[in-house]
Amino acid sequence: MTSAISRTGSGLKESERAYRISSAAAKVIAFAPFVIVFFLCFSGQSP
Amino acid sequence: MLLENHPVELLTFVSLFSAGIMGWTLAWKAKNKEREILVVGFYAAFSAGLLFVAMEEVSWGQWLFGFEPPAAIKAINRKGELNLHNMQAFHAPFEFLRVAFGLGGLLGVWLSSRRHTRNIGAPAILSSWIVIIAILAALDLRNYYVQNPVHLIFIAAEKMVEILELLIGLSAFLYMWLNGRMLADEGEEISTFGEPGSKPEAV
Repeated sequence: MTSAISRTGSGLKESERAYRISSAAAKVIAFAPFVIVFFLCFSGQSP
Repeated sequence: MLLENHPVELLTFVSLFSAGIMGWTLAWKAKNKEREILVVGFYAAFSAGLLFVAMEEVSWGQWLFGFEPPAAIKAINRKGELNLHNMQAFHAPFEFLRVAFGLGGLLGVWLSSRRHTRNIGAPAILSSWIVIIAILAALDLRNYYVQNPVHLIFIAAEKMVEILELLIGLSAFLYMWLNGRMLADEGEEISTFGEPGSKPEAV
């Protein structure tokens, strides 16, 4: 798991090349799960 | 938003189903290009699993099309739905399946760094998704066996089950989309969206 986390940073640049995505798209993908969890947990909606 | 058959669950179904179709397309094109059996077999098997889970998510269309399951099924399903994951015998395996997705994803990130397994590995850019999935799935599994409704972690994990399923669906979709682009970029014309060499699409 630690390895996976440490690879996220270098994975951004690597992904831009390997998967032909823009730098902005790479950042959006990498940070999206945090935004999703935060939004859905704290949006005031009851489960 | 997090209730059954509401936006989050429907988005989970759409992402899982789309990922399954994209993966199946990848497997088919990889077969036609005579790629390794590992690549063809993995995408075919993974896609079949995603399509199965997608249909389980919407109880095989029960809520979308509004039909009633047979009485025999309703009797053994704890929610009276046409699916396996709410049957007593299959509930635990589905809990383990979520954990397996998280652990498999971590393994996939490692495989993407190996030359021979790069084509089936998970993009490192998905590491954040996979770590969150692994943690939430492990908490959910713990709750399945050690129920403590007043414990804060129990309440939080219970609340996040639908979010966990959404993360699994979206990460599977991104996995297929990104790997489709990578394989297409190798000049093999294996693409799920766009042609090889086309400009990157906005996400």
